[in-house]
Amino acid sequence: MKKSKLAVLTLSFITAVSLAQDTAGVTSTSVKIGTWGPTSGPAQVWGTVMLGIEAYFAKVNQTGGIHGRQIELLKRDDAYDPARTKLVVKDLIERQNVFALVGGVGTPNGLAILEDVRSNAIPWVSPATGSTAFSQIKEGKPFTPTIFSTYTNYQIESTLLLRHAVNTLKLQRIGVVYINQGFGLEGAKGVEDEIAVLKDKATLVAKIPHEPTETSLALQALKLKESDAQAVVLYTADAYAISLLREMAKIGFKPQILASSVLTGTAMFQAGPATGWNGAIAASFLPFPTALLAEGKGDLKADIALLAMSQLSPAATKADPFRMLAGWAFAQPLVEGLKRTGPNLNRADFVKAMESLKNWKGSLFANISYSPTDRQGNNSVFLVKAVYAPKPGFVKVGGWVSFDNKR
Amino acid sequence: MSLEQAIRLLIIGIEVGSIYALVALSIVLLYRTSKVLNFAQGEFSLLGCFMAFTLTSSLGFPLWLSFLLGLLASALVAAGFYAFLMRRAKAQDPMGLLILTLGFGLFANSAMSLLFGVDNKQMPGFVDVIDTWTVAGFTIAKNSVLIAVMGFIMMLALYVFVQKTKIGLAMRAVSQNPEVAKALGIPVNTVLISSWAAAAILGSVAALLLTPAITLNPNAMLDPLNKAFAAAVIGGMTSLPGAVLGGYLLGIIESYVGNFVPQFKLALAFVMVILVLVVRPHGLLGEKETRRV
Repeated sequence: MKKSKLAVLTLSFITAVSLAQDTAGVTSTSVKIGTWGPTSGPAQVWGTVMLGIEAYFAKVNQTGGIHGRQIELLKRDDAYDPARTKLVVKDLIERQNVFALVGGVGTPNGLAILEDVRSNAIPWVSPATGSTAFSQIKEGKPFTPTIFSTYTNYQIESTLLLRHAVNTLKLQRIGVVYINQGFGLEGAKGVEDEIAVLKDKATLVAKIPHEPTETSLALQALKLKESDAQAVVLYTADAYAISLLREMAKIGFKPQILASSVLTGTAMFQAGPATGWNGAIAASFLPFPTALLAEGKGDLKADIALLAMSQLSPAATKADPFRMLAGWAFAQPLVEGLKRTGPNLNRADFVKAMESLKNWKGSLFANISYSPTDRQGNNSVFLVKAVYAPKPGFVKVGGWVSFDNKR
Repeated sequence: MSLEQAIRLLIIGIEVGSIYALVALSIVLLYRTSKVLNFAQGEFSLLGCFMAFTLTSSLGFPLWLSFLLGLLASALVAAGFYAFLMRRAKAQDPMGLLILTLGFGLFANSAMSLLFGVDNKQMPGFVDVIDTWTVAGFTIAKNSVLIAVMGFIMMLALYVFVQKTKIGLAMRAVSQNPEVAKALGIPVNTVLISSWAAAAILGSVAALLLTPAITLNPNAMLDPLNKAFAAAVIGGMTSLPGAVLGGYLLGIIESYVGNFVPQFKLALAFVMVILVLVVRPHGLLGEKETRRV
């Protein structure tokens, strides 16, 4: 009798502990979600992404939450410093007991906490980076099964840009200029890999790196001119891209420019209308609303989201609509996952619910699909063209383009 | 390599070399008089730029007046830094003073980020950076010519200032022996304050010439400053002509080497420094420093 009582007690204890573990951050009326980004330091503009997430959760909470639970968002400032990211995210996981993470700006910052997320099996939806490290597959399985990426990764993005240059614009001589670190290397790899597949259709005539400490890209411009590239894919930050475009214009060289999503900010228009930025094609992981286009009609879903955001968070939406939209979009698949998990919320079921998203079009992204062997949910880019008339800005170029194996 | 390519690389080398030479001159000028390596030089230079940018973009001042006021602001802050911090510092040994400049540089960088923002700003220039002239079928950017000519004018002005004026003579005396200069009645502090102001003006001119082409942000002078330190060592830390030679030599060699081996471009400056330190430690035109025992 004593033995069976002890067994029952032990079993109850184990069940209680496991239930507690499964439902960390979850009560019958709330669910805790953590996010981080820089609201101080040089990259603080990216902190706006957290406000976009917050606005979307506010909208969900206003309509009764999910299965009776209100979403409680815990935001943390990491000043874009990976060491600080580790501290704040450990706090979110271990002390605040968040159920899941969402967003989180920056590749080095995400990499700093990847191991903590993996070892604690914390669901993490939409890391705000296009690095492939977060959707990595090892031996046919996701390396971190609880991560669900939504940001189009840089390799897919550069592949789609290249396909546009080759298949639509009929350009054959391709060059790529990239910053010699993280996203630049991934973008250049995407171009190189696709060129190898396209074989007769295109040739890689220049693959030119630059260091993050270089000030002027005059030499890179000269090498591009020597290569006689018809199209140049750019994987670098805006200050370097502006320098390169101006140096190219100085020597009378204006190939078709194809630019990564990191160059879709307004700062790039400082390059000037006489540079290759005028007419450059850029890839964006998000659709452009009408308000952000120089002319023409934008994406309807983005227009609706912008309208909702401007009522929920008017100042931030007015100041930085694109990053607000990004936060809004990052939060949408997480909310869908929470809905699909049902009232008995736990992490294992949440992961299964996320895996059930197939060609899901309920967010700002073109569509989201996951499977037990795939964690890169979004493989599309929204193509835009930079123009200076009637005013500096982007115009739509055919909308969404998706990655598949057709070449 | 075609002739056109060789000429273009030379133009890039001269353009970049002019910037390195101007900043190297500012470093050497201070080192000769104060015996200090100024790690805040990049920030002093950018302060003038941000001032000029704000005056012309936000307050509508004419460009020439904004540039002049920017140079004045930079000179005043550098002079004030020497008068109120460097001169009064308890640690007057070279290492203590070097750390002081480094600390002030970091502080000034953060302050500029806070005041002016960290985004890339379009710094206006006297010519459109992509406008060109065509000479005998060869195009050359007006901005490249402007940088080379202005660099030359500033170097000439410094030569006249140091060689032909009383304050320049006093600077040379202080650089040779501050104690004797003081005993001879030379106002050493005034001379040193003037040196800091003159060095800041040189650096600011370099930044005002460079930033219209590359955009303005609080870290815009990081790379030119590193290269200028290398150029100063190559030319000789005690020689003003050496700084000019080091700047141009580095700019031109970097241009040709960078074209063939881009991955080596960054390391090149410091490989040149190592070679000079091994073969001729006092630099190409520097004088061997000797001390009486």
